[in-house]
Amino acid sequence: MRFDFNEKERKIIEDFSYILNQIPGDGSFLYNKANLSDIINKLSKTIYFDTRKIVDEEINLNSILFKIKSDLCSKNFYLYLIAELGINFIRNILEDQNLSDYISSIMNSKNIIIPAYVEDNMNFHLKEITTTAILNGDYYIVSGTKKNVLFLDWADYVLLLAKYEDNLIFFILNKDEVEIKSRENLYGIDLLTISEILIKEKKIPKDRCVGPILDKNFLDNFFYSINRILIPGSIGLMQKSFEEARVFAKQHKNGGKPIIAYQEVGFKLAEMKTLLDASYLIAAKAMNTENKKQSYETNLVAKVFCLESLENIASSALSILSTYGFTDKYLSGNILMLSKFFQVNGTSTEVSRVNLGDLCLGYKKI
Amino acid sequence: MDFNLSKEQRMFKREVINFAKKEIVPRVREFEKKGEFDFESFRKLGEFGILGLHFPEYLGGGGADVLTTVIAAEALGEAGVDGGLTLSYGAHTFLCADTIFRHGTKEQVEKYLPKLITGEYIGCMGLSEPNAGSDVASMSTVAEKKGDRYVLNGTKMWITNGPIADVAVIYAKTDPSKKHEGISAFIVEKNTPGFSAGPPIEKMGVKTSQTSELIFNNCEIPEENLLGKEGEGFLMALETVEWDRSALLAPFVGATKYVLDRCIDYAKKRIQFDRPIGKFQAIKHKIADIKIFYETARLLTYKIAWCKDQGRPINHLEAAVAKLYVGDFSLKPTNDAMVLHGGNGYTHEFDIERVFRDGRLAPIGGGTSDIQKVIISRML
Repeated sequence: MRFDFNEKERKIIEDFSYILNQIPGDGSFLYNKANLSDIINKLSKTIYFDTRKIVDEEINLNSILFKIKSDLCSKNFYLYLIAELGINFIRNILEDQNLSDYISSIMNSKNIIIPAYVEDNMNFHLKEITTTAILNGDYYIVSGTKKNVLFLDWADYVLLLAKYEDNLIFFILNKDEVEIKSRENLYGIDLLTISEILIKEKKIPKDRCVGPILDKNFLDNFFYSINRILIPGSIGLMQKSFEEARVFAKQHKNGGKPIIAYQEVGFKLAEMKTLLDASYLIAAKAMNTENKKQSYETNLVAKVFCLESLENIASSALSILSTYGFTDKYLSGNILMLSKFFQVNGTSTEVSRVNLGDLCLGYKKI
Repeated sequence: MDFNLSKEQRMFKREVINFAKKEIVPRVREFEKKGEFDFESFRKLGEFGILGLHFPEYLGGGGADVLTTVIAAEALGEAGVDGGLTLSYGAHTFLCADTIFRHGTKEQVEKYLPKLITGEYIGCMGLSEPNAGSDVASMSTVAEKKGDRYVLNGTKMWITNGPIADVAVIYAKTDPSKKHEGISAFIVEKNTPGFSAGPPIEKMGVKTSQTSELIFNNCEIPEENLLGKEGEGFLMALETVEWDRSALLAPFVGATKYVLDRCIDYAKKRIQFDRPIGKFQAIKHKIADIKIFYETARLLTYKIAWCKDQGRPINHLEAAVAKLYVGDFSLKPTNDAMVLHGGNGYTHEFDIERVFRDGRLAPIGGGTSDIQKVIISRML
């Protein structure tokens, strides 16, 4: 066992922090696509997008990625979500698939490709999917409606999930090729959007598809990959919220003394710190476990524990920050809303609990 | 970072579990019901090497690192050994024997450690008093130097192994004008004139461990029974804190795994509405929550052990976090386990209520959860 980073690993983390310091902490960059591209380019030069830079047995890449991901989310959760969901996620889920030159070039150019998979009555059951593809010569004809498509405003492309015969198939569409039926801001996090899109008998060339995918566990892996975005992200958000509350409690005075001196506040912070430390360890373990079954299980444990701890910590932070917590100066209010958003995405904490229970009971096999 | 136990550690844990299931667990219910200490099981812990696992081999110990020691303690809980016996083991090995080993003279170590390691002697530690619990510096037990002897007067409270101990590490003030800097540690043997133990205190849980007052009434001990130097007692007591928050917590963590295994087994066999209750989502949720607590708690406990193995200075923040987590957050999983078992969970037959009762000590012993919160908040 080893609970810390070695010298080489610390150096890589420090190098990444240097880049991180050049990135704004708010969502202002989202108003200008060029700024977003500029920041993505900066990250492209780091281990964050290019893990090939590390070839050293003494370096545990998974540990480092866990740390820099949580650091990035702590610094700028807008950027983290877009970079993870729009770039890393697609690379992860498609890494074992045969990709056309067209798709490979899009992915290698760090385009933002947003996944569209949720439907009215379908979340994680393939049988329920209604977006369908029909092969017609060199084209597929695709029709369907996708809901809850995140951050479409900043996408270059959409990765559309459909059913072809009895298998899954993905299509990459230019953002302009989909009809946006509705677009709303995420509740409490105004700069992020959620959309409903329509694809009506769209002809899509074969070289823009991935699949059909014959692996019956693919959807499980799909949601597992989303969870692995949310888990390190939640640690970054917890750290941010905890730090806001800790610093405020030491500086803000009431009754002639810093409010941390009152047990009500000090004890809250102690409980927050405890949840944070426990979350950090289980999240780090989840990102580090290689064995497939153990990894799946530990990720479920981390998904539930970390995401619910995030809500508790952000809620306690708001109690400590009092009215100040509801001003633009602090992010804990946003983080509280994000905690719910994080909980329901991927496999929700409720579904994760059921899956974990099934795994413990031997009802689910990996 | 690497969160995996080595192959050897996993094998050793399995060995401890098998030993405990065969030699100790079959006796647990009988002794728990009687509320009596199980001397035979304690000696078996010695024979197997648990009592002296982390002590050097030349003293009869196992020469193991702290993490392995914690894994063994966890394995006892996981096998189903009651919290009373594991508490007695903890007080004996970590609060008494370890203090003598670290701070004793060569003569003291050679005199006591071999017998403590085999279990021939049972050890205890006397720190708390009726009016000095977490506020150790306000203790009133005094040790007055008279010639080549110390004379102890005072009363110690909540002493695990008090009524059965052969040797005790006792903290007393050699300079009452000072607070913690006036505290010193002494070795006191059973049958020393002026030293007596009160009757066992009846408790809610950990019933097989014997807890009592220790009374010192002009108890004279030779000066060579001083541990370390005068005034060093407080720091010695602080050192035991890390054991309190790793090896002593570990059986509670292991007991959660014991409970989890029992719940899984029960949920698959118990049929209601024509199906195993494990098929209901509410039951799956409970099992998942127990699993989540177990996985998180063991990581925090392992981390303290790992820090000790690295020779890091005492980190009270990490230790307090682990103690608070295991203490406060263990209530819900053990309660969930009882509810999952329905009426059966409330009976002695199913052991779950015993683990629930034993576990209520976790947020109290070795510094209450509130004290841990005070420590953490002060260090932020």
